[in-house]
Amino acid sequence: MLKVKNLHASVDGKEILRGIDFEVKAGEVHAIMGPNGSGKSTFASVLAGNEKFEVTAGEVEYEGENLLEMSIEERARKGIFLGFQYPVEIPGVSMANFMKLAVAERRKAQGLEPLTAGQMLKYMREKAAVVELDAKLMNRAVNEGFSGGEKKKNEIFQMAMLEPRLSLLDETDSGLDIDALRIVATGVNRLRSESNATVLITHYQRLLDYIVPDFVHVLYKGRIIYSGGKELALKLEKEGYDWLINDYKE
Amino acid sequence: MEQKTRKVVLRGAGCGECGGCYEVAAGESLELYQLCGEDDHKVRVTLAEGARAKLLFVASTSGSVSYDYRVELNGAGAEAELWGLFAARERGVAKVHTDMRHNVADCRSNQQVRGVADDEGYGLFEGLVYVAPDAQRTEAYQQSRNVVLSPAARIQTLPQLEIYADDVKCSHGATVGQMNEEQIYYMRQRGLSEEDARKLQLGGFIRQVLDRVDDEPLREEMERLLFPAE
Ligand SMILES: Nc1ncnc2c1ncn2[C@@H]1O[C@H](COP(=O)(O)OP(=O)(O)OP(=O)(O)O)[C@@H](O)[C@H]1O
Ligand SMILES: [Mg+2]
Repeated sequence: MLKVKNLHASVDGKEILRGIDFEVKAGEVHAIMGPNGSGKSTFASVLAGNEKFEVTAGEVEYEGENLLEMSIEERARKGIFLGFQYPVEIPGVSMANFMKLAVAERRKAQGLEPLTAGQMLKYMREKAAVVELDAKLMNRAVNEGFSGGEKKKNEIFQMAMLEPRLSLLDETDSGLDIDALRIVATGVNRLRSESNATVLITHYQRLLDYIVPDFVHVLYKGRIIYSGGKELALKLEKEGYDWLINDYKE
Repeated sequence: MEQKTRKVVLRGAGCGECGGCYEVAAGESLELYQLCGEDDHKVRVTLAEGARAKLLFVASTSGSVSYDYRVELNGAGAEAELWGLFAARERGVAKVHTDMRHNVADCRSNQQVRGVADDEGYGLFEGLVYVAPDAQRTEAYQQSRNVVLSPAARIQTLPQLEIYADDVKCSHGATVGQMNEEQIYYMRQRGLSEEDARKLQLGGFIRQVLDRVDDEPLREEMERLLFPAE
């Protein structure tokens, strides 16, 4: 589904991604861990097409196509979803209105009929229930005045609405209490299927107790320096990154 | 308490040179809506004891338009809200001048004016809050928020407070900014085209004032004045 080869990216002339190799197949769950500032969010942003970052070398193939040539919205319409580490507030734009437009674009790209107003309302209620998000929030402006937990649930709600093929979830677990974490994780698990894939960026093993990854990767200074199975997350939680970083220096 | 409310709508060329003078008697209230795209318009409102006024204007032009509002709070307990939107397109010029005068104690006022300039448009907001020496326990708020949509567009905002009483609650704020690119990125990540995302965002900026218009046909008329192409 996704093949990243030797990806380099910089911002304001500063190189942040320094040769990432990464591959995701349909049905898989990958976790990316790594110290603060190692480039995890940057990697996700570059895959989403954020124009702030400049790709200076490398290739990214998504479903057999060159991802780097696509605009942000083309990528989204083709099923790439980014759950933001810091979801953005958009005053004056209601959730309902925003989702109506977003779902219409996604369905058009999937070759599906547009939903009627009634169907849309029902669909929205159904998906809000998946993450136990208060349906009243649909009448409010996007993320405005939402609590930290509500913002994160709102990301998973939008993911459920858009039925992405590849979901990149950037620290969706940070700032969640135990109940909210369980709800969010259950939501993600329910959306898992053989035909889609999930990349979780996280600092905490506890998320991976709920969403069990097939692979765990360590990103450090703009490179994936180590990959392993789910047991790697446990080891990192206990021992930190020092052993790896020291290894890497040698 | 039952209040007698007078509702006035002033439109287009029909506003004439002068939007008029309105005296709101004790305990009564006025709702005034004004929407124009040309010419200079003056509105004068005086409020007696316990009187209320809700004033809302929309100015949108590719030519030249100016509004001049003066509100005199002359009786204790009087309250005035002033909501405004101005937009200047092409080489248009939109100017707004407000003068909120707290002449006596125990009155409240709130001004919320938003401006948009596109192309080579120019917008100006000058807003005065005056609090007389005896006007204790005044509450007066003023906010001016503006967006410029193109590099050649300009907006100036000049809020001014003249406060001669000491027991007052006043605040004012003014911002001029561009479209928020983080918001645009977020919306595009959900599949909206860049154009739709920008439209939605601008619509949101304007809606925060238009939401104050309960009369739906009137609100739609205001939207059409602001987005004439659609
Ligand atoms: N717009 C920018 N301008 C300058 N430097 C940036 C910019 N965005 C990111 N960086 C830098 O790039 C590096 C990687 O940042 P990134 O946000 O990708 O890290 P991260 O691994 O997600 O960290 P965290 O775990 O704290 O979320 C950091 O040193 C950061 O300061
Ligand atoms: Mg990050």
